[in-house]
Amino acid sequence: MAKLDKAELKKQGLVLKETIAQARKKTLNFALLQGKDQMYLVTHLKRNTAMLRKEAKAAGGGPKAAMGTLNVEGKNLIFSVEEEPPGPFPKLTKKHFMTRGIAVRVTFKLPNGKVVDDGEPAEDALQSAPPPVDEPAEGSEQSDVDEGYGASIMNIFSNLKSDLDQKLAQAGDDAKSMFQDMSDKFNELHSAEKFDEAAAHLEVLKKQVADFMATPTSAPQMPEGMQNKINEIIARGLKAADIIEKNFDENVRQLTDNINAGIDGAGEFLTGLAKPITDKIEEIRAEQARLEAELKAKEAAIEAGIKAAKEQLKDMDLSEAQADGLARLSLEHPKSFEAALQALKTMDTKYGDLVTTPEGIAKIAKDLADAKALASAERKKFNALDDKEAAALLELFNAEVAEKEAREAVAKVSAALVVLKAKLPSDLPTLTPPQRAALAKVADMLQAKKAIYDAAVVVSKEKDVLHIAADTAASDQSIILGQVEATVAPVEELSAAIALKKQMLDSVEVGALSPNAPNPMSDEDVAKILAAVNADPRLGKTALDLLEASKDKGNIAKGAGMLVDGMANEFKDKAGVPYGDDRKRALYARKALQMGAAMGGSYFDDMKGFIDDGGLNQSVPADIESGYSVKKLEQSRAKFVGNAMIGADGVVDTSSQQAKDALATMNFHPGVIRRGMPEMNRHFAKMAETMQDPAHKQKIQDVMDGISTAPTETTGQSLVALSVGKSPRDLTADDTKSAVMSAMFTPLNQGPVGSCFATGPARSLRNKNPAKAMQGMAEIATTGIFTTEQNQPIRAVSVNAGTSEADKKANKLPLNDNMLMRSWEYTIATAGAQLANSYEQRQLKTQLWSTDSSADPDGKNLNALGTIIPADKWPEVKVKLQAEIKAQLVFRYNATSDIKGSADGSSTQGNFEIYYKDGGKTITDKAEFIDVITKLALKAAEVEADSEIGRKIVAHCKSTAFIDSVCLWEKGTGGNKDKIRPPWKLPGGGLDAPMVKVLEGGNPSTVNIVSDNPDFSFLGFGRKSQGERTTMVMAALLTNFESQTPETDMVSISTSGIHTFGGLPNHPSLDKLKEGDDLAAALKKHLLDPGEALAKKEMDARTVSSLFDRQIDAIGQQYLFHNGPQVREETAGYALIVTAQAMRPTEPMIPKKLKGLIDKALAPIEAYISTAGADKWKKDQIAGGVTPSTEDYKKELEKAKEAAKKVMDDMFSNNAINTLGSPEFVIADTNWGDGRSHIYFVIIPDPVTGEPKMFQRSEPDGKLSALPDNWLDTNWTVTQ
Amino acid sequence: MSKDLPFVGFGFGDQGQKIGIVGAREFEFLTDMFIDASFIRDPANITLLAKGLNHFDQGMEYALIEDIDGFSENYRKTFAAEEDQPFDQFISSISNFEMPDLDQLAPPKITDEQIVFYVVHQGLDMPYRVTGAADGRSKLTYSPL
Repeated sequence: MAKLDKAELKKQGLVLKETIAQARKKTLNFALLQGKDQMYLVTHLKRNTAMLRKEAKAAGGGPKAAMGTLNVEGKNLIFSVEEEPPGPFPKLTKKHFMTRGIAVRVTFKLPNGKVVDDGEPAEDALQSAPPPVDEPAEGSEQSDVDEGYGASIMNIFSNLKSDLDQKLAQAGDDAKSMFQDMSDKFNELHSAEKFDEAAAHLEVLKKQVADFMATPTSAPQMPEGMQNKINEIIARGLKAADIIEKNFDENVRQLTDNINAGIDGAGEFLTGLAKPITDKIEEIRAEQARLEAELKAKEAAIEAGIKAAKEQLKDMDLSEAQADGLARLSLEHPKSFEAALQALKTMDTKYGDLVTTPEGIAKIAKDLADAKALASAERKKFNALDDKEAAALLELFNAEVAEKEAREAVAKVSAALVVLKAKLPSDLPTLTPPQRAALAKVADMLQAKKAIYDAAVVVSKEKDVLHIAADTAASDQSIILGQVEATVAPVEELSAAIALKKQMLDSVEVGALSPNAPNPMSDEDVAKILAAVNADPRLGKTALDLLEASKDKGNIAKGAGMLVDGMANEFKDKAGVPYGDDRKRALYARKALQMGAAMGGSYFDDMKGFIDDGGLNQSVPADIESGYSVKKLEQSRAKFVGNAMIGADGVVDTSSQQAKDALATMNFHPGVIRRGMPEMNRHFAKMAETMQDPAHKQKIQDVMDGISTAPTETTGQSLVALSVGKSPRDLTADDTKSAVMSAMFTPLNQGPVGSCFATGPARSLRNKNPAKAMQGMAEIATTGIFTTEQNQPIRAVSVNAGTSEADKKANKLPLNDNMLMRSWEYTIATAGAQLANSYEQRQLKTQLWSTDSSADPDGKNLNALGTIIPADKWPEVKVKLQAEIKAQLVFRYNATSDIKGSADGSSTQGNFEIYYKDGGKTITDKAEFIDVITKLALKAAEVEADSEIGRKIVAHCKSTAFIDSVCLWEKGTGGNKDKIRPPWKLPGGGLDAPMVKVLEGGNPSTVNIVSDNPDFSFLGFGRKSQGERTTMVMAALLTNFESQTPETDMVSISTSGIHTFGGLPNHPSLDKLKEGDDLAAALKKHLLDPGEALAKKEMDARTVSSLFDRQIDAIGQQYLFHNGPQVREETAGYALIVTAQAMRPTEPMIPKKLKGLIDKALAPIEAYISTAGADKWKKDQIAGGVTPSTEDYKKELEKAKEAAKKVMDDMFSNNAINTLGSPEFVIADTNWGDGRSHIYFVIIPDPVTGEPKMFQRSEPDGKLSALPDNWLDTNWTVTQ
Repeated sequence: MSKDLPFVGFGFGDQGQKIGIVGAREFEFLTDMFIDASFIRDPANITLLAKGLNHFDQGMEYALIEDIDGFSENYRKTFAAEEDQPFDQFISSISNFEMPDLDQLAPPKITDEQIVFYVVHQGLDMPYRVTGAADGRSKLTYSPL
């Protein structure tokens, strides 16, 4: 053993003392590794244990390790660890301290409460400790502690051997030989100064000696290990007896096997075995017989139990498999069984037969389809009759109008006749001929009008009769329609009841409620869910749906239980005041369960407090209740919560009662959670917690105190006025504070204009340094200006507060969002782009003007114009040209440009391009670049192109030498040089770093952690598979994550040209991948191997059938019956479903095979809905005046097929992953979402291929959606 | 500026450093230029002084607005043309911001040894008001208009 000198031991002792002193005050993280010659202990207040382990390993530590937290109480070193430390660690650690002069007691505490210590009471530990190395005991050899240790164990060995030798004199040769070998081994280790190993060997020897000494010397000696084997058999037998109630048959078999194995192994020895041993064997055999008898009795009891349970289930319309599954549940989960039975009885009482077999499902689907088809047919008839009635009514109206007009005409002529008669003599015979003629004419006219009127009256009467007939027919049909439509609702209700019953039975048998689920629920919890099904089918369905993808089923069960009780108690508060009516209470229960499932933690306990305090009946501002758009609600709720965080004295206190009440309102108030926004509530809670953190609290208060005035200019006024809902003229400093707090409490997700480059860094800053983010928003609110970390003030992106259409159109900020927050984000985007422009301009300046001979060896860049322009004029021309270039050429980022690599087929998206202001165009090739530079040079020189100097300038700018000189070079493939930075084709890259820089300062850079997936087929091998790519991405991300400081919660990641988002280094799902030093091994253990096992897992027949049914049913519901994008005849959909259901598998199989069967079964449905989708598109196009070509139709059809296939693939992934319990690793926050949900990137083994696969996962519903391949094939970069 | 005066301009030298030139002579400090070409501090040549102060403070990031009417007219025209364009994070547009009060724009002016002049940011195309000591010995303050 390598000796450490006294000075070194003393030095290490001082360090350890310092560590102890620290650990007395605060908990330290630690890594403790066993090295070749000593222990290596590394501690730190903040750094994570993986990093400490690396450090300890670098110092000399070996693979044996313990990690966790360290506290010191008195002389006790308490190492809290997740896993049991290697065996000798407590003693070795104690020794480590002792040899360095520190007397301590060492204890390792495990999470389950188990304690592993050094085996000595505290007092002994102190007594046995050597004096400190700096205070050597008189006469002791303190400099050679190891030799003392060696001597100590040799002393123990000598004493042991002395006893042993006496006994061995009477022993057989085998025993003598065995102990001699062991003694030799000890001496060998001791001589080699391998004291630790010698001590361990001595422990074994001591045990063997103790066993030997207890054995009668007259008995024949057993071969080495036999006694242990017998003891082990006995121990197993006894243990089996102890646990027989739990695992009866299996243990009996195992016991029998063990005994047989033991007997076989004994060989000839048993024939000469001493009586005590044979007696023991007989005893075991007797025990075996007893256990076998018990097994039979137990089996009989099980049979009886199953029979009794099935008897109770006999009238519940269950299949044999369903009844069997429930009956077996009754044996181990009696509460669940009782609850299920109760729910089934309630369903049976209410609905009678609810047959959930495939035939039953098909029947109800057909009944529903028939009922709907009948209703649809009657509806068509009614519509036709209704149209007819409308037409008849129109005709009647026209006839009545005509009658009225005719009547008026008659009246008019009659009036004329009266007037005429009044003018004529009363004695008609005395009339003159003209008078007679006039009178006759009017009389004729009257007769004619009367005739018209009479005809109109006839027509009107006819039309009236026709209309009455049409109206009667339509009315009659409306009655029929009402009757037929009334028959649909009960069938729908029945269909829903059957679906719920099946969902419940499937869940109990093979789903989340099953005892065989990946993370099975307790009997009590399952019973709570089933009680919810019994109490309120809709609440029960909500619970079952939520359980599908839940990571905390116990929480949902707890909530379901409390809500069922709450409904029964009418949600009464402490004073006994109930909430609402049955309908409102049922709705509240569903919404609270959804919110609680999303929020987790202590939600349901807190809910009880809210209800007790009468919160359900409290009124809240109307604008935070449901009934508004999501964005409007987000803003109103953020304002409500933000304002509650500010006390009357202007102090930000997110833990005040007012603040707590506001958060409780968001979480529990019935009017609020009707449109629940769990993601927003999470943000509220996190922001409130962050603001209360001592690291931020005072800084935040300082920002608030710094807002001492109302906004001083238009931009801030508009932003604040819109936030607080006041006129810009009436704003105060408090309004500004309110607007800033509202912005802070509004979730920052990617906005509608694709501002992802700024969203990620802004989101990250607001989480880790809220005061700085707040300062930025406060500056904008008060001054309309944002100042970057580079001290560059720029105007904030503004809002047009006007309400006219022109104002709205001119607005640059999304009008339905929190505009102060968006202004901050968009201004960051502007500032970042500007910073990048400045950087690129400096690069261009270097390329055009460098006098460094390594960059421009031939001196042919723009400086060469100095040889063309007269020397006395050149300085002037030079600075003018510099100014022209600066003013005219700016750089803009093109996120969609595709930059091809040189030879390997690799590519990346997104790069900067030069924009020529006066020309109003982007320079994208060499010719354009030469043209623009030439123009600017001629302008600076104030010469024409055809002048003598002008021609020389043109010639120079066009020359190959000039172009070569302004491109940077690097050595490329085949010994050739490649231009790597031609100004007209700059290399690809993201825009992340400038955004981070304007917000946080420093000098962040972007590094490529995974290059794209080039096609190397020309070299004989091709692209990596998506599984390999996913593993590469995972490994690269984890490598980067492990290099981050512990407090870094978010890392800026880009997939080039696609998206910028936030990596999550501290997500708990990644913890197990960080264990140990071997990432590849961790990935294999936790990702690749489980994936392979999943793909090979043969699912039982019930699980297979259930997964098949669920997918077919869901596709039917989604596309064919209810919510499909295209309305179609239900009967056609029904036929397709029946055909698909007929392919239902009933035998065990692996996921891949099941997926193949489902694909085959769904192929006709996929074709049907794709064609229907494409047909609808074509119809819409034609209706819009465009007749699509056959080619366009085919493209649309392909798109529809791809979309349908993705839906079906994702559905299988969701069902299979939830059912089989695949491990899941959350790698990033996408920045996508709103107050209701948020999306993360996760990596999960695909049960079909077994390979890792990348998905989007939506929270809180847990829905997965596979990402297209291009996300993986591109470059992955990190900005840090 | 008198035609008799030598050319005065501002750019960068061979090492990328900020320079001013007077005729064919180069200066790396404005104060040196003041000594060698004192006419720059002449009130009649305040434009040269403003250019010099701006250049040695910020390089070429900002340019003095000399043609105020032309700048204002062009600004208003561009603003109107871009007003209906949606925000684009990659393309800076002056219409993303409030219309500044262009009536404030004025030629450089010195009051109590403090100079005020107006510049345009060459990347953002936004006008800024610049204030500070006219002697070139301290940093200037740039504020968006």
